[in-house]
Amino acid sequence: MSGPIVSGKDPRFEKTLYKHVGQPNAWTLGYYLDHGGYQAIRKAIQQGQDWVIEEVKKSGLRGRGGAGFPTGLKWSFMPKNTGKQHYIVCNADESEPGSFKDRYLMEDDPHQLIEGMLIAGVGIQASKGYIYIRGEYRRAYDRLTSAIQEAYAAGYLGQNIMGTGFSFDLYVHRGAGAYICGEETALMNSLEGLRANPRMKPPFPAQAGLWGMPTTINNVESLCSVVHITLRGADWFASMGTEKSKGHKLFQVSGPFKRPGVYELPLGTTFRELLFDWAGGPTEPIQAIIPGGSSCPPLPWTDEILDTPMDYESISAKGSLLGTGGVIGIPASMSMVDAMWNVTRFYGHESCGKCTPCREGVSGWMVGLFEKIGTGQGQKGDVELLESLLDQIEGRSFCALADAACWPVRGSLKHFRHQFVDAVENGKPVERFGSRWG
Amino acid sequence: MGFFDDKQDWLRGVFAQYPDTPQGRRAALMPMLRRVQQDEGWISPERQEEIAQILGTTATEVAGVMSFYSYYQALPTGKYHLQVCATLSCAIGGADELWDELVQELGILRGDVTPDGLFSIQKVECLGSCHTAPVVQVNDEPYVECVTKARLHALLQGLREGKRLEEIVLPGKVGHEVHVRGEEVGV
Amino acid sequence: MDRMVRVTVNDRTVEVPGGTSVMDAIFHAGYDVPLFCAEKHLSPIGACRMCLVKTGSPRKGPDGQFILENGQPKIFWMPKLSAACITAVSDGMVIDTLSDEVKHAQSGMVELTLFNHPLDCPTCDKGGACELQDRSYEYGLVEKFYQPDPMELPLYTRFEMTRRHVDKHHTLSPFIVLDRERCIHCKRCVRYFEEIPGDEVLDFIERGVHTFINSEDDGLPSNFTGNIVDICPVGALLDQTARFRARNWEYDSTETTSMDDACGAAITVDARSGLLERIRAAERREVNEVWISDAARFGHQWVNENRVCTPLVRRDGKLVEATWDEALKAIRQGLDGVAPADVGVYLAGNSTLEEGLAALELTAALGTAHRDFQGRTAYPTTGFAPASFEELLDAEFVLVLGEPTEEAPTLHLRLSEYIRGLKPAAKLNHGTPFADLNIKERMPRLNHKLALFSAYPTPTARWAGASAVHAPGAEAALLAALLGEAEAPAGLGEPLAWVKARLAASQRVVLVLGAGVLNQPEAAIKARQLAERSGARVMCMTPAANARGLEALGLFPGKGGAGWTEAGPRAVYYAYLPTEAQLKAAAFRILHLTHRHPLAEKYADVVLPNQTAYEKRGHTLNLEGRVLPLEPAGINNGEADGAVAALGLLAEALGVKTPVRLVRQATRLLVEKHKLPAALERWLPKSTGWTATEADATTGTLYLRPTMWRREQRVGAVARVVEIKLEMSPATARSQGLADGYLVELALPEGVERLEVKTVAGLPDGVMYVPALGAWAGRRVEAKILVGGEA
Repeated sequence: MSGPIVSGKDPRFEKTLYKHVGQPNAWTLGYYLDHGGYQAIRKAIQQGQDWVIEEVKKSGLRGRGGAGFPTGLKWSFMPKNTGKQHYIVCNADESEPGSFKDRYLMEDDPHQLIEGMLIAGVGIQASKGYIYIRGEYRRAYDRLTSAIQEAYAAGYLGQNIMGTGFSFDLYVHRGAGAYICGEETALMNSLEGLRANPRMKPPFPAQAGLWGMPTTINNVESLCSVVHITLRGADWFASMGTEKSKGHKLFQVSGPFKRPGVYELPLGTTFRELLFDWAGGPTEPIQAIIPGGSSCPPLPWTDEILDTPMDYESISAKGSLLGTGGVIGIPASMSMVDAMWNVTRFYGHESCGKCTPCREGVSGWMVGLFEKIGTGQGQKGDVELLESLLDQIEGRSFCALADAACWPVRGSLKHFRHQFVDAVENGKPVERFGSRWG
Repeated sequence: MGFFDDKQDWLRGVFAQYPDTPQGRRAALMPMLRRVQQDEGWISPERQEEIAQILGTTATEVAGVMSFYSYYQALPTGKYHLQVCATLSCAIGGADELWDELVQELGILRGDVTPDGLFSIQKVECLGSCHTAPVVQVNDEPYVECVTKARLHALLQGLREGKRLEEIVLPGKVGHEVHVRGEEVGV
Repeated sequence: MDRMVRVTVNDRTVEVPGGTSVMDAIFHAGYDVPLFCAEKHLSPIGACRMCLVKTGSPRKGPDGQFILENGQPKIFWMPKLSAACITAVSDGMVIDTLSDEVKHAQSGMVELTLFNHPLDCPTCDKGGACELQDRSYEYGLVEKFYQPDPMELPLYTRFEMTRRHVDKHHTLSPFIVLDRERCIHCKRCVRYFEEIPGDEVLDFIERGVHTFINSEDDGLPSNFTGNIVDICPVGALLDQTARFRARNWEYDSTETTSMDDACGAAITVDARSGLLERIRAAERREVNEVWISDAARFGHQWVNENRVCTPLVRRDGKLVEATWDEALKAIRQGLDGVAPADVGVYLAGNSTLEEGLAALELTAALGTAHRDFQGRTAYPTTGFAPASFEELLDAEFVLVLGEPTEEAPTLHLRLSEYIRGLKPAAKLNHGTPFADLNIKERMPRLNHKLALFSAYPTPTARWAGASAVHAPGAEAALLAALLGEAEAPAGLGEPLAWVKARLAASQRVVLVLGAGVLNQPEAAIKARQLAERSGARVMCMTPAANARGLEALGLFPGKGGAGWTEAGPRAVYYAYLPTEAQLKAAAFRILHLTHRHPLAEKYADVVLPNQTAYEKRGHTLNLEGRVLPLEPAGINNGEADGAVAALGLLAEALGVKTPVRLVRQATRLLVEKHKLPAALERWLPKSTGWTATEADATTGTLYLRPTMWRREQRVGAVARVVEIKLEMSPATARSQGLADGYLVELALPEGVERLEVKTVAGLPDGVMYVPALGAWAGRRVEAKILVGGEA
């Protein structure tokens, strides 16, 4: 085979990020060193900051937290030689419904993340790092803290790492149940012990972030990817994926499939390959998939969609987003109104309340309207009202949370409008799903 | 006696993680709240006041932060605080029915504690284990995954018997090891 | 000054300093943009999303030249609308506030803001002065977007669900009530407390649509709570003292100067039907910006009650109502046989310059040395070169000896600005910016710029790089140590060494002196030496509001004259209530009072009806030496008149001629003879040459600690807030045989008070504290406990 690697079945494709996930004792330093650990940081320190940034830029790695902003470019925004304390913060507040990839990276391969943080530290001249981990990830927290202790004891963290003169301190900060902390400026507020309202930009974190110091915030998967980019080179990474979406990615499958879970695949792999070849296909009829975590507009379960490559551009062209790569299958037996009611309630619950469109629009009105329609109280015109409400909220909120709440509803109205109209016209509560639980 | 009086070493360790400035000191707020929550099951107004004193801020500020995050409880909870994920994938997996079962079995709602002091329940949003839906978290422990009716009752039974979470044997093979081996899990 | 940039707002091109917000550029250009969360002097946060506008900028191509379109730089519009308050202008920026896209967004935001807002405007105190009402009318009418038939009734919101029902009457303090249903979450109040006074006593609780504001700190412990009522854009935070008193359009509003302290904050006095109902802050950029203390705002309920409305003369041992003519006759009779040099004239500390001049001219004509004003400090404040607030902001180091929150509340708020490193706000066409991007939430406090020493714990100390609570009277020793004349008092070695180093390293220094220093000539002289040595300018927090002005005119005792704390002259005129001993000592007493009082009933021979400071016309001088105007509010005070008229009467009774008979005459004389400049200018006449005439006022074990409240204000809500207790350290209490809760009767200069004992850990031992509540602030007297026992 030649050309870019866009399938997990391509013999040239090799699992890297998740290679050791699930292996006994993969989280220990001994295991990590036995499998070539802490070689990348050695190389990064030898090659220096500019090389690291250039290599990450060249690799085409885009932020794996959902927004897809080029990681190398983000690092290059950091000022150099300011004499100030720079911080690298790992966003491990994985909270997007449908996403659970970072959890296993931290549970089973914490040293990989530590090494990624170290490399980022070289890349942005940071001597301190924080891993902001969502509070519920207890096992990941335990494994990370013990890995950090091991790393300190073995000289991979602390002063003068491996005798290179590079020093780095790493701390874990636990969240306490707030989706908004995934937004990088809200995360910084939370880390500082404040209510997690997003901050205004500018100043961007690279100018004035954590405690006013230059700061870069990266997702767990992005930082782990950097380890392999450093070790194997940007060209290796760029050999996978499509022209604008390079590399590999952790895709997650949840919903009624035979083998839901996390799958490491090159970008550009089709939904069909993920859902049928890897996840074993659905266990019951599916009507829609949410391609990248609950904030992405659902797409109908059609051949056209199933054959769409999973990369930033192709999914965009279909009217949705790659997001975090968390694919949720919505069964045909579940009303889309019910599914969107659930998603809207989630965003309403997680709205921080800072700005009007999100607080009143999403958390108040949209949730109220779904409750009205969902409980059979819907009136003629409510679907149009919902649509006009989306116009009023989308693009006008302070941060992207309100947008994230609007997109799935808008996508549902585009493809499944009749279900909403039916729900209003029937005047009956939507059937509750999950009656087969037992 | 104050909660943190005999935890000065722990407190120093927490402060050491953050810059030695008034703003840096403030970052200890969430770890301190978590510590009280873990040890006492809720964070009473007295504890909030104590934290405010230690950090040099006001009780209002502490309450503002505390109420923002869903983990911290302003009311006492049971010995086992059961948090049921209710977001989409878990809802597809039957989270609503699981919740109803729990309400019926324990005879309590959110904010209540069973008369024996053992259980309290709370619906929470996505716990990040969508492939093993539905998911329940007991206190601050690792998740209980793929919670079928049988597994739920085994869990409650085990907890009632005073077993530690990891000692409780639940029917069916699920969770971490299954995901890795690629066996069937989920709905 | 930042570089100027050119921006185009709709059809107008204007120049504004770089870094200006789009919002202020729009206002500067004369266009409007709706807003709820932005507020003068507060950080812009972009939360309410009302100010969404369309912005675009030219871009440069790879060749460094602007990309052109039809020969003009091409405008690249932002894909989304921008919140004008948190977007900075850039050169060549184009701002559109009038297009359908913008109007649609703004009207949509009005609808969302109204989503949970109750429709109880008819019973809301904010009605008629409500920003939400105004903005709904101006920007909320959305027929174009939601109303198919233009003949239908106007549609502001389509919402027909049940609104949020939460606590509608949540009492935050005796002064402030919160209606949580009305709150639109603009966060002005929460930001205000963190940024302006620095008392974080109000915060959001919960999140999302459930967010509400609350306090866990009982009764909002801060001296500056009332400002949140002014800045609340809706009727969520309301003034309890003015609750349901009038509709906003019924008030007779007068802008004048607060005489509650020496800062001279601008206030708006709202009266209705001759009663003073409400006081709000007015804007005075140079002084208080838009903030005032709670004493200046809420301490007005006493004004309407128990007023003296006509002259009273004593007949058959009783005070009876009389005409001014009858009062004149009674005075003439009473003064018969009294030598002019044996007449004493004593003004209140909040008298106007006009009144001061009248007193001075009269006493000069009489040839009496007995003249003074209440609250004059033992050492003259005119002995110091005053700093302006602008100079304060520009200082490198500020040393405070005293308690700004109590002695000069506005100064505390300006120190808050100073400690955050802010400079005076820019002045644009519309005045102060509404969204000053230099101000941010939770700015670090620059502690190295401030040191504070006080005789009682004070909130301002939390910003100081070095601070300590010392025993009252220790100021002289402390200053001696700073001058290098003595060793530092015990326990102060380290902070004083730090201050010395900072003083030595700083160019522009400001010294802030409280009444504790000014009443102790030894300390005050040392402070003056320190100021001269470090080139510091000085702000004197005098107990008398117009101390600097009255002193500048020369209103202090002449040689051999009795000061305001002493008894002396045979016949006296007091424009305030003196001590019983002073009344007893005189043979003929004219009291010029606003209110009736038992002491007046007992001793006064003639009572003349006086005006409160809210009713006077004239001028005052604040601690900067700034001339500030007083305007009379529409308060019904009967036949009351000020000291100019009363002293005129006295002159007539004594048969002397003075050049001052009317306030306007006095003003003219001040301008012509004393070169008084126009309002808001500073008047810095040469020092009068007077130095300390009084013995050291600071001996004794009872310290009359300064408070912003005055005795007469303690009625209504104020009485519920102002706690007056005899405070001391636990050790002092033990040595006195006292304990918490004991009730004691204490002889104070102004009479006997029955007080509860309260022990406060951390207070210096061997001294007791009682709130001064007025002119005696910062002095020490012997503690005379008359009776005491367990409560």
